[in-house]
Amino acid sequence: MTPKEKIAKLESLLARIKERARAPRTNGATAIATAFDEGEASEVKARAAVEEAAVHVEQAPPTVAATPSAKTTSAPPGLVDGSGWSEPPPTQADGMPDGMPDMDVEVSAEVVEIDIDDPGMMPAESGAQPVAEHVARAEPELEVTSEELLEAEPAPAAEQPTPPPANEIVEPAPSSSPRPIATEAAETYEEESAPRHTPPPESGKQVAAPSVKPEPRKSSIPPPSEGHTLLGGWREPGIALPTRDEGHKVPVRVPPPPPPPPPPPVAAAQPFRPEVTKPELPAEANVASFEGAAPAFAPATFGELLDATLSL
Amino acid sequence: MAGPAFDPNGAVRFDMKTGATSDARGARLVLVPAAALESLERSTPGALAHLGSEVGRGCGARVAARLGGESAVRSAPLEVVVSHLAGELAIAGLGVVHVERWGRALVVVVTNPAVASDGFVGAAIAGALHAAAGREVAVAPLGKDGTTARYFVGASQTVTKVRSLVSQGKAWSDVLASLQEKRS
Repeated sequence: MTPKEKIAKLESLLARIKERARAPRTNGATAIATAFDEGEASEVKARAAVEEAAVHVEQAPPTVAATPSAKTTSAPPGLVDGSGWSEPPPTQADGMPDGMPDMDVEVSAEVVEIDIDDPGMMPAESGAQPVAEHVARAEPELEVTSEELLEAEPAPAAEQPTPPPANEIVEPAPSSSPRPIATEAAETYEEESAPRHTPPPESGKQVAAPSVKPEPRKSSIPPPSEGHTLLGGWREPGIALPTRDEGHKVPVRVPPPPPPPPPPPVAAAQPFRPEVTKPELPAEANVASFEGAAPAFAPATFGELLDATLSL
Repeated sequence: MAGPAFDPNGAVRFDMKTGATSDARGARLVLVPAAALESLERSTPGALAHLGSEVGRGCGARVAARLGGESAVRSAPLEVVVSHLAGELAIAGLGVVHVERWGRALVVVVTNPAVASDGFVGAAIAGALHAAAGREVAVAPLGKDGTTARYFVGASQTVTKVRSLVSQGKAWSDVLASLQEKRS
């Protein structure tokens, strides 16, 4: 590989890194982008070192590496040499087919030193992404929103982010996953305090609007006695009663309640007057009839009267 | 009227010299206030009836004397006897007397009596009839209608019955009617 190709490869790698950094990602990605900006200085250093090495390669005669891994480009991916450089995995462009005889493989013994331990340096394609900073940046948001909630209900200890161990690489959260937990809790309490919309009506109950003047409840006309039973039920007239043969009890018919007594007559406001009916009688008639004659006592002398009264 | 009419002239004579009052036959009379008789009724029950009976006997005796005796009186027409009796009782000051005949019953009616005592008036009527006709009779008061009082004349047993019926509140007319039914 010529130095130009190497440079081009590095530039392509750099472009990919920048592209990824610019992509809208989580806070961690943003942190990475910001970190990458900070590490541009190192990148410039690295570019200068590459150019300087290219100059040395052009000046020096080409040599072939005597190592058995002449055709290999680098150490296996994932291995980090002592300088800390990690060779990216072979790509289609890099990996030349074995059948290409004209292709000289030059292996540069020089090592481009790129300080990837620099915290501002963008990691390579290994996938390691700094997540700790993302957590650190998320904490202020959690604190701001959780202060209100801590008074009412403390956040469970299990949800508290625990710092990762030092020897473990923390996988970054997917771009769609980071959500402020405290915000959700706040929304939950907001929902409890103030509903966002009118709750749906309860099923089965509908309250009718009260009328202005409720009509008096009229007693319905009692149904005919055909339908009354002692069992308290109502049987449609015309339907035959179950017989004893069918194993059912024949309901006893109860006469309908007597009609209510007529209302008492309203006292008339007129004065109490009799209704006079005069008879039609003849003016004269021989009503009495006498038979015989009353014994007439006509004493001729005072002595007869005196004897009559003494005889009583 | 067949018979002598009642002549009140000279029925009472006042002799001023001797200070005596006498009837036509010269029997002495005493003018007694009616109030004195009523007080006697309150002080001595029964005395006034006795006094009334004596007053009536005097009246009846004078009628019988005029009419010719007790038999002449009984044979005399009713109007003659009633006129003489009423005349004598009026001169005595007992009141106006006339007779009612209720069937066979004899009722003597006294209007404006001087003494408001049925015992006194009744006894005077009974005494007058007894003295005039020579028959023992009894008298029962039937009742008063204002200043008019009626007295039933009959036997003593019948009078007792009438008194009982009247005291029970039965109307005197009904009592007299009942007497007629019994008789018939």
